[in-house]
Amino acid sequence: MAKLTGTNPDQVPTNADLGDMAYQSKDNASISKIDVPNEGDLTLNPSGGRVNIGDPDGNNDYTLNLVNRNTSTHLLARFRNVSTATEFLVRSDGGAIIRAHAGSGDKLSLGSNSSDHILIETNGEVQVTSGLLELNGNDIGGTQVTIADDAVASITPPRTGGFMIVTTQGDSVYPNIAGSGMLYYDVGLSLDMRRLDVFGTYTFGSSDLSVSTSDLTGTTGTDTHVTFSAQSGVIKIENRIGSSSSFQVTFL
Amino acid sequence: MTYTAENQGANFWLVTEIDEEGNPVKTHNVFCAETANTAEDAIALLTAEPAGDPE
Repeated sequence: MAKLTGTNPDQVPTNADLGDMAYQSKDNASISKIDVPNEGDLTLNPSGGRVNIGDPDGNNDYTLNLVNRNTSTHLLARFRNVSTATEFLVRSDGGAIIRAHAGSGDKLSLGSNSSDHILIETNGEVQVTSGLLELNGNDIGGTQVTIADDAVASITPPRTGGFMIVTTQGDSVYPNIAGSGMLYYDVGLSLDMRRLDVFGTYTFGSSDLSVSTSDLTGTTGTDTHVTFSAQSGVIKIENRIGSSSSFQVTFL
Repeated sequence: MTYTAENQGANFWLVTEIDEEGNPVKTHNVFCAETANTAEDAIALLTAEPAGDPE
C-alpha cells in the first residue's frame, strides 16, 4: 500500500512537512523567503493597501514604503535594465538623492517616451532640449541654429515681444561680430524688429545686422548681411554672410 | 561621433550627435539652403570647419 503522507503530489503533508507554515494564519503569515519561479507572477495588494519593506512600524500612508536599515550603505532602491546596463538608483546620502545611471555616464532626465526634455549631467550641465524657462510667469528662452549661406531659419520666441541677443559662431573658434547684436522684436499683431542703440549713438550690434518686417526667402536681404525679420509668431533669420554659420539666440 | 538627421519640414533638420556607445548626446537645429536640402547636407553644414574670422 502506498504511503498516504509525504510531500509528493499524491500524498498528504504532515505538519512537520510544512514546518512553521502549518501553524500560521493567512491573515498574518511570517515567511523568511519567497521564491517565485520565472513563469510565476507576484501580485501584492491588487485591491489596494500598502507594501512595507524594512519598516517594522508600517504605520505610514505610502503605498510603497522602502526603508533601508543597513547603516553601512546609502543605497535604497535600484531599477536596472540588464540589456542596456541602465540603472535608476535612489540613494539616501546627503549628496545625490536620486541618481540615474546610463552607459555613457550619469544623468537625470525628464522627458516623454525616449525623448529627453530636461537633462541634468553630472558635470553640472543642464539641458532644456525644448521649451522655455518660466520665471514667476515670465517666459525666457533660447536656441541655437545653424543656417546655410543664403538660407532662412524660422524660430519661435517664448513670447510675442521681447529682446533677443544674438551671437554668430559663438560656439566655434571663430566667433563673428557679423550678425551679432541685440534686437527688440514684436511678432504679435504689430510686427516690429529693431536693432538697438545705446544712448542713441552706439549701435548694439554689427553694421551688417539688418532688420525687416518683410518675409525672407534666402536672398531677400543685403548680401553679406544677416537679416532678422518679425513675422506672425516667428522670427526669421536670413544668413547671407557668405558661409554657413551658427547663431546663438537668447530671448529675454 | 556619428550623426543622424531628421527632417522637421521644409529646410529644417534636427541633427543628433551619437556617441561611440550609440547614445544621443546633443541635438542641433540646422536650416539648409533649398538647393542642398538633404540629410547629408544638414550634417555637412553642422560638421563643417568654421570659416575664419573675416576681421
